[in-house]
Amino acid sequence: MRDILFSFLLMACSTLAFGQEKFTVNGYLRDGSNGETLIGANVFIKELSTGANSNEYGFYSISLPQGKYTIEYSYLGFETVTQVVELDQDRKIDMEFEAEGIEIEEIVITGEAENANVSDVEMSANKLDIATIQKMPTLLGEVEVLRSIQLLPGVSSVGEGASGFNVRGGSIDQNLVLLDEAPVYNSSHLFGFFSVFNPDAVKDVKLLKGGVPARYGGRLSSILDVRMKEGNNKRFALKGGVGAIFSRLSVEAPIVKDKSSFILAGRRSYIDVLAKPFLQDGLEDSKLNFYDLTLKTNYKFGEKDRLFLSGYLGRDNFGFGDQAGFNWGNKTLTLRWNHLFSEKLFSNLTLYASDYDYKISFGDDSANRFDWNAKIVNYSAKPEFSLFVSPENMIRFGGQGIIYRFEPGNAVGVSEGEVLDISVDNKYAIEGALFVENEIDLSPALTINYGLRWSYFNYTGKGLAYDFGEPLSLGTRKPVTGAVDFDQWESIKTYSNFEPRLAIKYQLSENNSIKASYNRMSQYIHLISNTTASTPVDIWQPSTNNLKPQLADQVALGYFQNFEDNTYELSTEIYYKKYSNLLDYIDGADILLNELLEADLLEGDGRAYGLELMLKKNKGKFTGWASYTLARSERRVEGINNSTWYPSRFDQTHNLSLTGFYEAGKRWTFSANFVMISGTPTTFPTNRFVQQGFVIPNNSLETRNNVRIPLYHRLDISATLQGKKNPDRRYQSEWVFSIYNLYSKRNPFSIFFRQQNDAVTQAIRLSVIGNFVPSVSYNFKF
Amino acid sequence: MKIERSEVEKSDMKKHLTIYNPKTACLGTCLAIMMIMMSCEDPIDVPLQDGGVQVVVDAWIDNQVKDQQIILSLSQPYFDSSNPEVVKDAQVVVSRGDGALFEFVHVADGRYVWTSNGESLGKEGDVFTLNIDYDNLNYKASTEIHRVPPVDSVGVEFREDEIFLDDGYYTQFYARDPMGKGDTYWIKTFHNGRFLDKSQEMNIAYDAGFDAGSGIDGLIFIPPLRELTNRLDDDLLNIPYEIGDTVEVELHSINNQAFNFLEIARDQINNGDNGIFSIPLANTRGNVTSSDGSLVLGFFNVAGVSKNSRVIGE
Repeated sequence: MRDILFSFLLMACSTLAFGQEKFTVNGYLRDGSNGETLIGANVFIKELSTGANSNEYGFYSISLPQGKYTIEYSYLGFETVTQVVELDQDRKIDMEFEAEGIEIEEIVITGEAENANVSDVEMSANKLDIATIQKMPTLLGEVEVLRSIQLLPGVSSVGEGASGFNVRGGSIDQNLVLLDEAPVYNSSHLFGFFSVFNPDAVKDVKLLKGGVPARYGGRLSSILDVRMKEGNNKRFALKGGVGAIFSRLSVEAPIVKDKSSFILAGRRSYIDVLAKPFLQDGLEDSKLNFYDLTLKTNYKFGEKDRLFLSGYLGRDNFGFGDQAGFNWGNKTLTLRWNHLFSEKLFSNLTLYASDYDYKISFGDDSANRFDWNAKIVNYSAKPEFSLFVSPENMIRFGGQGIIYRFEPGNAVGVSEGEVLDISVDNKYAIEGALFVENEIDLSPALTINYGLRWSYFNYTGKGLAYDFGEPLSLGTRKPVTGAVDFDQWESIKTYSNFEPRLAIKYQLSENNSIKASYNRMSQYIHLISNTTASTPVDIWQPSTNNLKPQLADQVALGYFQNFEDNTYELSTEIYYKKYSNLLDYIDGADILLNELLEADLLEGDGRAYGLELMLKKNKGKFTGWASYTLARSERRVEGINNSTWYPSRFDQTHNLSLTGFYEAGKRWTFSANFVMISGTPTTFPTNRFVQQGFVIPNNSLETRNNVRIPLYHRLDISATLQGKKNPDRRYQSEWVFSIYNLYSKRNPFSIFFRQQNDAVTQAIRLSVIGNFVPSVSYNFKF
Repeated sequence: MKIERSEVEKSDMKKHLTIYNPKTACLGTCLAIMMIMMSCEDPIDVPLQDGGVQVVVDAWIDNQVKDQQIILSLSQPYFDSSNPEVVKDAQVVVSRGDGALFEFVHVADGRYVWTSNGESLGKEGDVFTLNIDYDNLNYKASTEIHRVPPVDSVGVEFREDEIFLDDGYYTQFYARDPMGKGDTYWIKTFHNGRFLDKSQEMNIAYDAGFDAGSGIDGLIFIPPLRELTNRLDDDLLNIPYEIGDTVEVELHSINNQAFNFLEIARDQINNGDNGIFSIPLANTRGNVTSSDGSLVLGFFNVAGVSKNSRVIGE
């Protein structure tokens, strides 16, 4: 392995040694109207037919031999700026883009270079601009980041109201959801109906399903990279909206003009406020609300340094009267420091803290209560460096360290002052990673991005580490055979993995290319959940001496073609994934407040493969996309399904979605979504038998996921009416009318079996939303 | 025994939300929320795999001085809600470790009875083997009578009307689990001689707590386990007792495998109430084997029993 690393470094460095003297042009690219940096804007050197994209912080850097160049700066939806530069020394060129006059109302589907779909080495990636997300029809008119990405190929969910999303047949905990680089452990409000991301504070959403570069790691299936706005650094701006569920308000303003700005955005649901008059009989104090607050601020120290501080706080609160309460939420805090070591070396250091917790309590006084809470807390430092060697060659390297504290359940019952503690011990772990990645154009047509990530995990004390013996029979609870006590931070078990990454693009012409990628991913922390939809009380669990890290290898191959001057984009991909040490559960697993949880966990293999097609129309009055996925996701676990392959809970054979937007005149925009999805599988009993008067279901064939939920399909529509444009007036508003599930399809979330009190056994279809749901919301900005 | 009002209040709140286990408290809450949303449920037809027919042994007997009964039947397709077919012509014998034989004779409808005649099957520590000969096959299982602590008392308290609770009499039992992990129990409550037989009323304990993972041992049975002694109505709310009612609590020692069997059975029977948070199907694992290796459903357990009772208003 060391040899590979060495030759890798040698290859990366060899390109540094060209003789001719080179100069660098670099800078930041911004939106001229509000000062927001632009991610993925294109910088093109006409003479050399080469270029670069701005990074996550809007920074670009290109090194060129001395000479005179025509540089074209472009970003879809903005005026392209051309500048002629005499490059005889290093130059810093910051560019502020002005919106294209007529195009301002058009929907920007991607911000990158017009043919980025074809020309970037990246594949299995989707970017959604917040402006696009905002135009989609939604449930109850709430703009939804997580529901929007489910309209992309390869992304699905187990049903309406289920939290999280599934990528290429993986479970929801296999997605690394990053909000300004800090992981969010539960991305949902109200179980899964709404996501925690406030659309007013989101700038850009990017999903990586495969070909994941070495700088990302820690989860098997995908990276969802959500970037927040920095806040308008030109002028004060106010935005808000009133919808059926949330009211929103955001404020952004410069603190020091062009140097520092902030954005503060908040949302709160108000079902409880409306319901209050109807609650009585001790329920007056009932709670039913969820809110989130997002804050970001930045400060530019001279030309080379910039600091960003961002924070998120969100919570869901439910309570019956004053006696029982249940609440949960995420908190994240991120501090980032961008520093330019030289014209070519850009660095970012991220420090974050992230925390997810829930609390459940009963009882009305301190002598008689039951309090239960659980938490995952982590702190991390993540330095990353980008070296812009030449327009054809870029090296990234860096690392990450994470400290975890898991509190799987602190549960204390107090009965007449007598305390009964049934808490589960805390668990601790340290995760680390080092990576190096090189993106290089080997020829004008051939670009590769190859890299290596080394990840490390240390499950540590303090606490008891258990040993388990063989179970009585396959797939049943393992007996405890011993326990060893460890001190704080004393290592119990370590794991490490080398994760090679490779992406190749071969451009056949300006309009089409072939891409291929391979990545290995490892995952050291796992969400323990065996219910149909994940619940907010599901806990995270580290890999331990009894639970190995999950691993996945994925290969993908794609063909990309753009038509008619990049008006249409066609993406075709096939992928194959192989998993090992996937988590599963014994029959009757007890996953909450169980000190001996590991005895109930099983490990197995998985495989997933599929075909993904996407056709997008980017320009004109009518825009949108069609996406289709044909896929399979399977598992094999000793002791389940007679130890043979079975379809996973997330297996959907067909998944079709159509999304369209139409600009009708200056003020109206119409949009529609249509989705049609094959049913996911579920397990039904084959037999029933009687025992002591109880009727008990039994699957006598021991098969898993042996029944399919019926086909799901739904059409949603919406219309947006912009207020009259008045150039003298800063106040702008719009009305959004939408109907979710237009033809009232009673789609099954799940089918389950149930017995009535008279021992009648039957199958029940559960539809979370069985009717059409109309809504109106009003948005304004100032 | 005097019970403070507030304690019952608390436990009852918990009972309502949890039905039987505070670990699923959240699910109760979630469900309430889901109902507020726009969900709906309706029965549909689902094609099932053919799981064949299995012999079902229902042999939960105990060492009380009274007649003991074992029922033999056949499993049926899941959606067949008729009465199951019974096995009438089997030979059923339970033998004790010291060689004593107890013959169970078919009386009717698959019920095989051993007549006590003032005797008990045995005492703590005795081991038993069940032997069934039917249709040229032999079915076998063995078990042991485990220790059981006495039920010290059954307490009663009058409660005022409040949310999720009608006013009336509520009971709880007191017993202390002996030190040493791995004692498992089935707590059976009888109201005027009638067993509380709803699946949501099934009350089982691992040591004095819910399960092996709670790490509780040697305590008085914790709430809400000790409070699950009132009937539930169709909405799963407690029904208070009335003056003159007799409440009897029996503590049955069961082996660990039997505990797992009942835990899975209960969770599966009640799973239909879990909506989008339903747990996956899990099979109970019985302890009866057949001479040809075919699947046999059901369980054989001989329980040690202790009990106590209370007449409300006395």
